[in-house]
Amino acid sequence: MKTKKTNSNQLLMTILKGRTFIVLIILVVFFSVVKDNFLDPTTLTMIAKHVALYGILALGMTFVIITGGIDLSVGSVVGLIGMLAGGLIQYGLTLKFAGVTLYFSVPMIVLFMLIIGALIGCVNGLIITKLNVAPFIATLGTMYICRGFANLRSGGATFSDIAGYEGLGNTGFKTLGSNIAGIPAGVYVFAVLAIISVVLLKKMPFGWYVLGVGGNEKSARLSGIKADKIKILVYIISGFCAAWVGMINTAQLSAAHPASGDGWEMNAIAATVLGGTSMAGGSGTILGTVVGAFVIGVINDGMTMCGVSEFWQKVIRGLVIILAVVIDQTQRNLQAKMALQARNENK
Amino acid sequence: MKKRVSLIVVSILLAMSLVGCGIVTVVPIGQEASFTGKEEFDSGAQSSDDWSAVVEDIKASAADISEVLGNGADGTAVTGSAKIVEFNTETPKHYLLVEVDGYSGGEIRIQAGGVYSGTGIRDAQSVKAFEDFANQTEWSQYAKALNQEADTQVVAPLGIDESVAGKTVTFTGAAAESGGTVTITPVEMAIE
Repeated sequence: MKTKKTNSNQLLMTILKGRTFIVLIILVVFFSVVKDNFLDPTTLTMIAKHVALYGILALGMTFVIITGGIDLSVGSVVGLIGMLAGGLIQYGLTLKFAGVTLYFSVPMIVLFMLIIGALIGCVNGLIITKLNVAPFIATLGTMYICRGFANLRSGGATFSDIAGYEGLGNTGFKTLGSNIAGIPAGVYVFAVLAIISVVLLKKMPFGWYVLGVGGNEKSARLSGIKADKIKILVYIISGFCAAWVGMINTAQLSAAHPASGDGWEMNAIAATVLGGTSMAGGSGTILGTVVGAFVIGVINDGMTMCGVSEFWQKVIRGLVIILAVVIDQTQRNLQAKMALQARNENK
Repeated sequence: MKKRVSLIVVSILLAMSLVGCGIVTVVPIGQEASFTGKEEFDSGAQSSDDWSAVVEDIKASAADISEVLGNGADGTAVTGSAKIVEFNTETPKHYLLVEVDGYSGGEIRIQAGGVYSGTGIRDAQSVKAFEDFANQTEWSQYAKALNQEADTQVVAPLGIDESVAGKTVTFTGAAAESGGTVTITPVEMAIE
């Protein structure tokens, strides 16, 4: 009798652990039945484009959430980076005192943007660790600051000329938004960053430290882990990822708009949580986040294709997130129960 | 001191290598066009070049105001004559309030100085289309520049003041309708 119960518990655990993947399959089957063209290459390419954007943001967010933090600034960083990159391409960097304007090549601009993204993350980390500000508040502040600067860069206008000029040696930015061998460039970036993230989290001491800080910061500190440094680093990773998304999004749109990325932090958090990363910190996987990003992408694009209004989409997304957290909690309780049961049986 | 000098030397060398490798292009301010081959868009020059063609175009396609009124006058070229009720300068948008014989609908205004609003002239002409411009911003600047042209070429020379009330105005222009009020931006106008 006892064994039967244990077996059913184990089956439930397996289902719960693979829940995001199961949900993804159900969603794909559902939308492909409802919409004939859902599995068309063009549709899949479009979904992949969007998934890559949320996914890259969610990769950075996963590290942050595992440490028990949150990064609300990523959506605004997307907007700011887009504006800075677009501005550098269209107007260059004017040095009035020298009477010249500098037009940088695209690889240089990409490098600058990644550095700026990482620096914003570093500022977030420093505010949180050195000034003891709660992550929610600190990143809420930088969220507003970055959005403000994004608007200030152009006075709220759009930079529509991001193709660059041969004569200025700054062409090629649009490649980031184009398809390479039929696959959006953003997907390649997502794949590479996901692999690096898996290595960082699973194979490097850094990953253990991140999990350690999130699991129990006090014991992590006592065992010699520099918790502040780890926390700053995860925000740097998050800013770095947001910078990639800012550039890819601008290249995809062929224009930089200061409102770009508005609310995307929520998609990133949703993908991370759906992927099984605990909001309390201490646990989470990159693979889970990747699947979570696909779920968010499929839900968003699937509902849009089915003609579900933007308002209802928000309601449904909210419900999905709440459901994900509830299931996560159930899984944890079940896990604890099973561990207790196993201990009793051993006795 | 030595450290500082070497830092400056390294910075200069780095800057030179950046330029040498094509990583950065240095352009004297204001000389971008010689590198891009693209002229900076000058809406004023564009509109004054096009003005006479625009006037001819609107005159050629203009319908009589009495035929248009009440049938949706938005975005159409119109011509006609009307009695001036007053020259209104209460708001920054100065206009002539006019009456057209046989029409008792909403107000009919002819823009006459101050701030010009709308994109009537641009929308009523067929000399230039949206595709002739690089983007929405240029298209919008063009509309403003045409309004400015109407002010300097048509309205300003007439030296309109309060004394025009009661006189007759003969006009050709672009009409726009909003909330029952028809606003005409003139491309040709005479007051007698």
